[in-house]
Amino acid sequence: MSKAPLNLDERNMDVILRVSGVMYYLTLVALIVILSYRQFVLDQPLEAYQDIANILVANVLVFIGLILYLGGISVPRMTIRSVVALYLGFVVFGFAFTTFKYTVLLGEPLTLAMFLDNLLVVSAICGILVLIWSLIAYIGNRRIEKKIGS
Amino acid sequence: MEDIVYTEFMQTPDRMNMRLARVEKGLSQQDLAERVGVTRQTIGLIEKGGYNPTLNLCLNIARELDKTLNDLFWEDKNHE
Repeated sequence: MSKAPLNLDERNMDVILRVSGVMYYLTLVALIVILSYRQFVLDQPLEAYQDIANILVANVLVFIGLILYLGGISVPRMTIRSVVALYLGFVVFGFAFTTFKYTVLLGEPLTLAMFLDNLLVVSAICGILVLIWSLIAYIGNRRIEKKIGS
Repeated sequence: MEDIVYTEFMQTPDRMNMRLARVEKGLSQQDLAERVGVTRQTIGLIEKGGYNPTLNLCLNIARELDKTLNDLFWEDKNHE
């Protein structure tokens, strides 16, 4: 019977994966805390924490993409309606968050121009995200169905 | 029906079956572990009910002990 490198068996791998999952989660939370602290408490310019923000964004995007592709979240039936509902949910949440951030946390006045700007940016980014993630989920689902069929 | 009181050693009857089958075969935990490609601790934990093995590992263990999955792992709720 062949063993994995370092003589790790399935239980060892199980333990390592569980610990990795928890540590990954804690690392993400720590990065978000650091980012928020720098941005809102220290009032540092974007350049000061751009690297952390980039790592966080890339990490979360790839993480969700991989989970969708590998079937970590079961997407039984994807309809136009469900995708649109998801998109609207993202837009509402994203818009509420950015408005809160600029008006409450950063103290900027709420103007019509800002309102429309936020809405446009959030709608565009959410549209791209939902489109890409839906496509990845669809391809991942098809891959699994193909595997089951063979 | 009277409840069966298990000693510390007999905490789960099905895993107990695995231990009995291994001893019957004259194998130590280390021997069985080497045959199925896991560590001795893994076999020990399975027998103690501290780890749920994958189906593949269950099959390998059953093959090595010349038993069926039912013999080793089936849980009879009534324990009669």
